[in-house]
Amino acid sequence: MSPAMGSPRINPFPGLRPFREDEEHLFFGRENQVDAMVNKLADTRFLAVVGTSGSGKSSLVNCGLRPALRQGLMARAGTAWRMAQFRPGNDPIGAMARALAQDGVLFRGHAAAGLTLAEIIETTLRMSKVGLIDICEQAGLDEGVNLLVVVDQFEELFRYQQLAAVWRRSAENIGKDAAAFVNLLLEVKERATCRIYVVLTMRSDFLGDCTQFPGLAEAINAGQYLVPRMTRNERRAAIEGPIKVGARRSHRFC
Amino acid sequence: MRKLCKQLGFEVALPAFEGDASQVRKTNQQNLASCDVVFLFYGAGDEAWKRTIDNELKKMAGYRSGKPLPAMYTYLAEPRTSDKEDLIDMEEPGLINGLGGFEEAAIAKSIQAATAAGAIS
Repeated sequence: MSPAMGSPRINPFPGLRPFREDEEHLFFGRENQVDAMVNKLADTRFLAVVGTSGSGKSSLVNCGLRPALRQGLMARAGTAWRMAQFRPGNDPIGAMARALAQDGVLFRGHAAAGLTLAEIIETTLRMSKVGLIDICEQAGLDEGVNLLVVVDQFEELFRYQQLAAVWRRSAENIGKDAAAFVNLLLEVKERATCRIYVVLTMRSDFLGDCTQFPGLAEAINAGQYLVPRMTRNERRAAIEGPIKVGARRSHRFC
Repeated sequence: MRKLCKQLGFEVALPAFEGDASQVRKTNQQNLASCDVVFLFYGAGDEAWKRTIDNELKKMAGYRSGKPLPAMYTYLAEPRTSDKEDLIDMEEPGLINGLGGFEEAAIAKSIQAATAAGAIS
């Protein structure tokens, strides 16, 4: 690039879409919210991030909570985290298995012989309600390593159930699968020594649907984080912070 | 490394490992806002941890109220991983390779370079 053309400009604002994980350096102004989420997750090991559509739930988790955990903001848990994130869709247990089977989450460099790693994990998850704990124990994670399971757009569980009922197709199977999936998540918080932490994001208009599953409403009551509106100072930080960092980056890389 | 830095006349601040999230964050941000040199000790942490810390260091400009960024060095320690090998192969700026043992001379040299460049007041 010639000097006359000047430095390339990087737009540090993502616009209406959620922040991606690789944009955490541009995520400013919500530190107090992230800290409150970390503290609640530390207390309950089950956090439901609830808010209206577009309130920034996914951004808060992707660019706030996940980096905060790796930075050691949950001091007693340390900085060693493995993280699996997925959307439940119409096959929540399969989706969780595929997320856990990603290289480096539970296992590293697994060589498939016969069944794939995702299939092995899915089989274990379907065996009992302690399937998630079992597969974590089988993985033999090092001492001090935690597992974070993020279920993004948890409301898909309810939407697919509704659709299946409308289509009159496999509604019963989808319902059973959803119940088994919820039990896998809830069982984790019953084990005091377990190093698995569960986070789900959900639109607030689906909160009432959670009563369909025994124990889920109680867990959400204990671990709910309702995404608040940003204050004036937080909005200022969200605008000024990325400009300072973005300007610095474009200068550095030109 | 802490001992060496102290011997060279520097005050060493470590990240906080106690307190609730806001206390830990506040301590770490204060350190990043006021420091002259950052040594990132890359040992047991994995690649994802390193990426997160790198991103946090990029945010420093937002904490320092116009103060210039500090000199930054990454000290590689065991275990040897493909990510660390890649940093060495790519000749990443500010890298101190301690995979073969403690690199006292390289650390001292880095501090001298930072001082000469005016990063240390």
